[in-house]
Amino acid sequence: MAADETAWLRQVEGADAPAFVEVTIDDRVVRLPDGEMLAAALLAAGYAALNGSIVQGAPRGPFCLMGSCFQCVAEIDGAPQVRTCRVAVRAGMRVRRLMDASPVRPPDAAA
Amino acid sequence: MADASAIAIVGAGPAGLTAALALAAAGVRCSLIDDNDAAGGQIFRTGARERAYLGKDPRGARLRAALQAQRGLIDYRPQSEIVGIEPDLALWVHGPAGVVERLRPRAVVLATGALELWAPIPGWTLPGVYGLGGLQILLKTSGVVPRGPVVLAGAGPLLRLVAAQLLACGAEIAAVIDAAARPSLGQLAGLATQPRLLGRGVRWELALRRRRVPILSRHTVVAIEGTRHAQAVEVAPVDDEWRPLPSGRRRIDAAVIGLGFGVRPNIELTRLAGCDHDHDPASGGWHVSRSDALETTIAGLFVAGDGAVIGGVDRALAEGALVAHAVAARLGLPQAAALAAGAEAARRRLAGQRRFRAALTGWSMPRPGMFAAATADTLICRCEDVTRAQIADAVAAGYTEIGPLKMSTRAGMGLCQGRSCTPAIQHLLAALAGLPVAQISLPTSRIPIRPVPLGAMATLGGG
Repeated sequence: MAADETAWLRQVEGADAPAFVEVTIDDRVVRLPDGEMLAAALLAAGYAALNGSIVQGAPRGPFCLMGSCFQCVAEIDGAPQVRTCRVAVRAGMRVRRLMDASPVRPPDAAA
Repeated sequence: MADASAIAIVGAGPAGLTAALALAAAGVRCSLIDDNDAAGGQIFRTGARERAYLGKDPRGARLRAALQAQRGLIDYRPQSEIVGIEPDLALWVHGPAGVVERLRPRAVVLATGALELWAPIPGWTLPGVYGLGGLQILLKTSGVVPRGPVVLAGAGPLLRLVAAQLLACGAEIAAVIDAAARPSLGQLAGLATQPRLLGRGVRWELALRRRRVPILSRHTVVAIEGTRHAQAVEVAPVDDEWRPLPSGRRRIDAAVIGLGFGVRPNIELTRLAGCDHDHDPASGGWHVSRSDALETTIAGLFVAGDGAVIGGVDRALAEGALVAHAVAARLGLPQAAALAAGAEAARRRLAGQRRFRAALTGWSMPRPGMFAAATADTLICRCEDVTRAQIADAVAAGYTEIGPLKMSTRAGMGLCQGRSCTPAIQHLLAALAGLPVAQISLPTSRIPIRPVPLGAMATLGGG
């Protein structure tokens, strides 16, 4: 799936325009601003949904943007459920959205 | 370096940074542990690049520069989350190297700030719906702003600030929906005791009016429409308790929606440590009990800033100075004497802010009716997809305490550990059980309070 639909957020142009680097999102190579918050860069590139909810499989994406709500998790370079609001864009990063798979239960779920 | 961690400060926002800098100025070492990339907390937040935006507070950059100059005395640890605290003050720190370290400070200052307060409504989990604070963070850290029609809804000073900030970046603000009534004359008089702060609020309001942004006071968003992305909101008038009324509803197209009814103290660490807590709506709901010296019921554990009681940046800055003195005095450090004058000045500043804070609280304090917009199908817990009906069924089946209610429904047991939904569950349980919300016990949490890869814990030895 490509960037979902319309990108409803954009990055304001400024004198300090960052360099863009290549990042793989699912199976597509996308250019994102180096060093910026990944969740923000994904939103500006049109990726508003990053995972499917645990029971209903409904699309979910960044919400609090401060590391608290865990709604923005995706698989990053093979690590499951990384908060995209807490990592910076890096060249060669591989992002896999968790749209179909139910997220892994948190550590206490086995109890 | 043993002294370096005799005092650990958690959170590098205004309160924590001020405390660390005051201690360093008196020659006292401390560790300053913060989960963000850069110091400043949410209010002084910055990203990979410093960006200009409307209303940017210059004190943030000054505090960051001061921190840089004091790195010899301040053991600053960015990108480090506290995943545990024990009653003997041992701290579990998950650092950027992916390893959890257990620190043994003699005193801890928690300056972990506030969490945004949300009310579950139909459609609030759709992509395109953000926390109001989240939209502001996108602007501050990344210069990312909405490009479709925006509706901002909730209450409190952040509502108009974010609207004015986004408007200044060229965003199209379709409406600002404020659950609170306009401030009364008495409240305006109280707000006028801090002319600089009132002036800021008036400027935001005028900026919105000049551009003919509709501001609907005493209204709230009762539903968000859309299938894979938000497309519109349904708005309703509210009563004095912010409960939506059945008539007078209207629909507004929106592609980006920001929700926020204010903030509440982040009490997850004081709860985990076992401190006593009180409930008071004017302080942001559940909050930790403190002495005049900002010490909790656990000796050596202090809390400063919005993490203790919602008071905004000026109060947090003052409490940072107060707690620096208090913690030095607690440890019997000779430098405490040098910190007393700063603490005394901070106490006077706090006294000067009292009328303003009371007026602001009276105007925008969250009212319980805000939780009444959830319908049977509305998701209360976003992490575990738990609906209002599932919680109501469990309460009807006798699960009237929050712990068993969580276990039976999984509400509040997902990845976020209840940080997003706990106030809504408490209010729902109170309403269904016919109890005052202050009588609803708090859920317990346990280490780790944030998911930690198993390998990260492997290195943990004894203390």
